[in-house]
Amino acid sequence: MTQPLLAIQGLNVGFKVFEGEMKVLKEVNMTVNAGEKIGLIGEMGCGKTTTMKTIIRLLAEPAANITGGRIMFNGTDTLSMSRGEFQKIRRNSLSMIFEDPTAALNPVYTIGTQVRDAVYAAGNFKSKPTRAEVQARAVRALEEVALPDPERVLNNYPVQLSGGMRQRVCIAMALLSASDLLIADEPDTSLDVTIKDQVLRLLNDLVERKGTSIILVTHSLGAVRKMTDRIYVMYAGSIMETAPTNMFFTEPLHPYSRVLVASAPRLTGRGIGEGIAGRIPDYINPPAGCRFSPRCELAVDECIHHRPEMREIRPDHFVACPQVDPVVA
Amino acid sequence: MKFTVLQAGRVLFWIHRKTKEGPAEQPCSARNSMRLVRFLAKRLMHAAFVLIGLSILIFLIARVMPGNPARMAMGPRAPQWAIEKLEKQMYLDRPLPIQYFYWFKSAISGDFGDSLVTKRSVSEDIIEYFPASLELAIYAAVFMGIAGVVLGTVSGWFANTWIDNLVRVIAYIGIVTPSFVFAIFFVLIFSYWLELFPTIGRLSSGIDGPPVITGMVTLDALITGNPAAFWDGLKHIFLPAVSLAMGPMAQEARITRSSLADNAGKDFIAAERACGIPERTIMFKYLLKPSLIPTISIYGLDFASLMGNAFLIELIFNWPGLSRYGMNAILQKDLNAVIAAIMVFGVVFVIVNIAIDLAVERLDPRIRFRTGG
Repeated sequence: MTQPLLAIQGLNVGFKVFEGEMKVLKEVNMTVNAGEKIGLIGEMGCGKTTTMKTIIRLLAEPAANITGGRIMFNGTDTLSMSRGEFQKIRRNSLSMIFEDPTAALNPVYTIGTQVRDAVYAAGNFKSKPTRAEVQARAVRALEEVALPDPERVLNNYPVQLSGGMRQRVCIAMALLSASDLLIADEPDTSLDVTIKDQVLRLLNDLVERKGTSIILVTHSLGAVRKMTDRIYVMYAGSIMETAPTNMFFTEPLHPYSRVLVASAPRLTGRGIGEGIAGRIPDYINPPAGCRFSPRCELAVDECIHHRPEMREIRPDHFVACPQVDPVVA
Repeated sequence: MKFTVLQAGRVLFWIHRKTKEGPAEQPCSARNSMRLVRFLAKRLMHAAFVLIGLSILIFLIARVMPGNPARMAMGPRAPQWAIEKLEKQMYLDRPLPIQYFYWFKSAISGDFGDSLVTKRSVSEDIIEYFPASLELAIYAAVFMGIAGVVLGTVSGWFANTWIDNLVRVIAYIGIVTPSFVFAIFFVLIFSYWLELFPTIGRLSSGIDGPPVITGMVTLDALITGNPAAFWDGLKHIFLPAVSLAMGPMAQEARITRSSLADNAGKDFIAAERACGIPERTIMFKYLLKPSLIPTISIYGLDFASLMGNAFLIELIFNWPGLSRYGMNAILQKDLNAVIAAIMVFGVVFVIVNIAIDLAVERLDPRIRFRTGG
């Protein structure tokens, strides 16, 4: 098999806080192949954003502390790269979209200033570009995300745009410098229901056309199901299950995945899901074994004391739970 | 004069009404300048109300203070009939509203009455003392702005490192130490021991002062092309300006530091980094501008209060400023001078605030596009 675009291996990340160290990410493994669309789901506060920010090195140092693991991007370990080397990756291959487009655009500069700087940073200019060249690329970037009247939008300030338009601008800026991988951290969460679908569909079309890989972090299981090829389920800083999207939704295997999928409200109207009793564990003293064990109905002694290994239950379907029996294909 | 003031008010109101509905098809620049005119007209009208309110307040306070102004003006041995005559002249025998009306009438034509202490028209005194105060405040403000922003920015960039801690300690010292303490220390160190700067006054005795044009020595020296006087004036104003500015400078530094550190954690900075925008551009452009907005708002308030709070500095450095003049007037119950000095500070405060609001509005589109004013 060819080398994956992104391979996260045994990543541990902690945050130093007053009370001690919060051990948020524990042995996270994740693989993204070129052109693959990945969905990352899990409840709030379970380390999704931390994982994403670690990939693109945007964690707030010095509080955040990477205590172990490797992140291989195109075959090189980004964690041991110098700032300058990693800057090249950010300029060309890797970018990120944030949850709240209002907070993700600088309020005191026009859209144009920000997009033009992003165009300039993304480079691929043989010599120093003229103003007109940069402007033309900025206009093209906004046209790609289907913003009407891009010239006018470039002259506007973020406050003059609607939430959906702002998120389109963010997508346009991120896509400029994401030729290999785009991280979309809940790009739909803060948008209106009517706009959500539009934005996600746009994102989907764009990454498909450009052949860019995407990691879509979201709470919307529907969006993940429609858009992605493969799913990672995360709970309390650990990957619990990963499978091709179709296989996952046909039969989620990990106890956490099952309740997560069952908790999603359905439009067909079978009422609101039960949810899961309890809450995410304390990261300063996390459970020694499976991090889901305190809330798990199937938990036995083994779960509480030993970290479960990822096992291939079905071809290409991995689950970190000893209670799930291998399915005979 | 009274007529022109009323007329000016009417014109302002007319402009404000006329500029209300900017037709949408107008070009952007025309709409912007319309908005500016409307903003100014509105703010000037507000300012007029504020100043009238201030004058009523100060006037009443001055009148209810114990002591008869006429008696104080004439001296203890003046005969009763002379005092009664002066009271009549000063309308002191009339009810307070009438007194205020007469005061207002002459005040808007620039006549604030005579000073009991200097025996001159208060307006003349103010014209003499105000430029010195303004000059001191301007130099102090320049120092306060530059040093405060530079210290705060460095501190914010290196948040939670030893540089940041050092700046924060300096800022605390700056805030808790009264300006006169700085003044005494600076005089001791820089004038007495190091002999770098002169101790008092605005010019050395050997230097020919420039002719009075604006009343600000360094500016007059520049206008008349007198480098020796300019340099000497600069050396004289340096210590008072710096000691006056230390406190507010520390305040600016703290505010700049905290808003920089705050903005550094915002998503837009992360997003700009994610796009591969160079760190230098982010630091100097995308992080600095939004962080300076709160600093500028506070800067305006600090500048306006520099003038009024300068009396101890003016006393220590024997600086012929309005703040010292006002303080003396208060101590000697020179009511006309007190009212006039406070009104001048009020006008400065209002003008500076309009200027600062205008600057903040230019810098912050969130304000520009949300208030339709």
